[in-house]
Amino acid sequence: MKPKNSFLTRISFTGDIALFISLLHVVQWHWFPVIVACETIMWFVRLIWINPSMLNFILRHLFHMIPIVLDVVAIGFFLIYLAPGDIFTQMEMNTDIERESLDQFRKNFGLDKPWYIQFFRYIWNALHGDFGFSQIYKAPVFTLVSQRALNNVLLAAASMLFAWSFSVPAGIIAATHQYKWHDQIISVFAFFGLSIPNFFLAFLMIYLISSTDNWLPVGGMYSVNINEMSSLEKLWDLIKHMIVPFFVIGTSVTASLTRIMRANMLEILGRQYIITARAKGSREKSVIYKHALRNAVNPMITILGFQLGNILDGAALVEALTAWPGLGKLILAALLSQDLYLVVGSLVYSVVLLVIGNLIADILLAVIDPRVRIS
Amino acid sequence: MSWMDKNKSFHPPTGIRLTYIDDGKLIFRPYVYEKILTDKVLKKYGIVPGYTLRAISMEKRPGVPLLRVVTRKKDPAERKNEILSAAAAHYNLCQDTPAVVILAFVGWASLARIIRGLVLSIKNEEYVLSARALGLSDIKIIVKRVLPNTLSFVIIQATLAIPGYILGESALSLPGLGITEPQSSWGLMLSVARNHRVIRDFPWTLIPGFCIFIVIVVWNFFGVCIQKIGLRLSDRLLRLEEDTESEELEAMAQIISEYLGIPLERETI
Repeated sequence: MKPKNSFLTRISFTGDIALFISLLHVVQWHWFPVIVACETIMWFVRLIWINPSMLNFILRHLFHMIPIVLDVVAIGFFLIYLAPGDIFTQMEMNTDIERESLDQFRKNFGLDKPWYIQFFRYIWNALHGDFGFSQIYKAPVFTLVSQRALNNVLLAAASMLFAWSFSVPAGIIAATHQYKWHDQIISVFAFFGLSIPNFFLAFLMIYLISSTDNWLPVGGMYSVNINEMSSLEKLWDLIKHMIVPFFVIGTSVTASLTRIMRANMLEILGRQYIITARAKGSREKSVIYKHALRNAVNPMITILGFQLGNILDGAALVEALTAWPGLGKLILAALLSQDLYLVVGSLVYSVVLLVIGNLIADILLAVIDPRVRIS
Repeated sequence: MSWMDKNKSFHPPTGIRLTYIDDGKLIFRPYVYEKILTDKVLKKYGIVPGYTLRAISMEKRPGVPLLRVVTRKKDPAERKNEILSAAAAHYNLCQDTPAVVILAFVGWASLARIIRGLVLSIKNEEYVLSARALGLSDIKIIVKRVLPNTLSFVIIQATLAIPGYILGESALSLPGLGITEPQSSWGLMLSVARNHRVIRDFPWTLIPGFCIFIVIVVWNFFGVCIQKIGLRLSDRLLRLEEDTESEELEAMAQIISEYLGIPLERETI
């Protein structure tokens, strides 16, 4: 970095504070999203000086996101159009509601137009920040999804943290002790974790808890008397409610990651440079952690990207079964009653997560592996 | 108690009638359905179109731009539409096999992507180049040279994918999006247990879940075995990896080689 650029980078940190204060006053959001927003903007600005090719790469990826999102929204509209009836069809059975008012409802929602007109109208409105109105929850889709998204991400992040911190060491142990008892035990656990369906594990947990005196709460996110608790008790309450869905999602992710890690590690340990490292007298610890592990972790980073994207998919059914107020329940309810805008809104959310997850994985890979060049 | 009397299904299974779970519905009947289902998915919908489309589109690169666009754009979108298309199929498409169509619609893209990579490497092999130099038509090159070389991989992948499809089917049927009432499936049977109180008071409603679990374990083991044996139909040879020491695996390879009538060989690295 040139000295002038380095100076500019340092001076730009003052810009963070200025932007934070001004954003806080202008848009009047909660402080947390404001910090996230202004840090993202400022780091983009700093990337101009630090690493222009990286900035180019990120912008290009974000640009590629546009057709993908449009694609998914179009497919969503088309598939909902394929299904007979719409959200107001249920009301037709109700004799209290008149035909004319139903037609009026449809007209207000734009449901009397063909699906491609609805699609373009949706895009036009979305560009103006209006993601539609959910008929079943009687609230704007943007509010609904952003409320639930936080819970969804909380659960997914916790279980992913658990899975990654457990599976990487387990994979290393299994690979370095191949066919010994360590490996057998870990492999058996991984195998069963992979084979047991998520929803079934959730059922088993619920049975276990409800048949043994309800020592854990099942379902929901907080207890009924949440308002009377202190903040520490609130946290404890949240953790207690989180255990069941967390455990169910965490085990399946851990199992698959362990197996992948073990296979990677075994492959790397058979390479010639490991033999070289051993031959020149490196200690076993440095062979494994310096030579093997760094190469074995590479493919895992790509998987991390996909996992970030599949946060919603992976957790949806478990969330619905354990009554965790995430997006899963919302989407199921929306689908079953054909709440068009809610379905499309959550689709957009998950696609954006997927693309951003892949982007983060690409960047991480470039940071960790010097052979990978971002061009 | 009247509610219990009405629903005979909530009586505990006794003795030999363990196989009955609800109103005379045999618990092992769904297995036949699931087997047919996965077979259908893999043979008709999942593999064949993904396989051929991708091979064709990669072989004639400039010739089929549309296909390339479709398959490429599919990647991120593919998983996103699972639930959605489930709903559409549930409402609209033929009532018998909605789950099959959904799973195939979602599942073909991942295999197609792998086949793409394989075909990309195979088409630069010398035998393909020599075939091209001899002036064979593109179709002939694809059918005779390229496809047979991907076959062993597809067989392994198909075996490994079966438990995933079974899981997908039951996960769709559980909230009522996949197989619906006149048909029966383990996922659908399990949907009775969605109420906490039902699980607590009538735990035997969870039996279909154990069945799913066992079948998936078995298929997984089988898939791993097939993977280790390394079937190579194109060479008309069955190869066993050098480092496999298990006797069961060897016996299994023997059985498969006898069944298919192809010689067995140990692979030397």
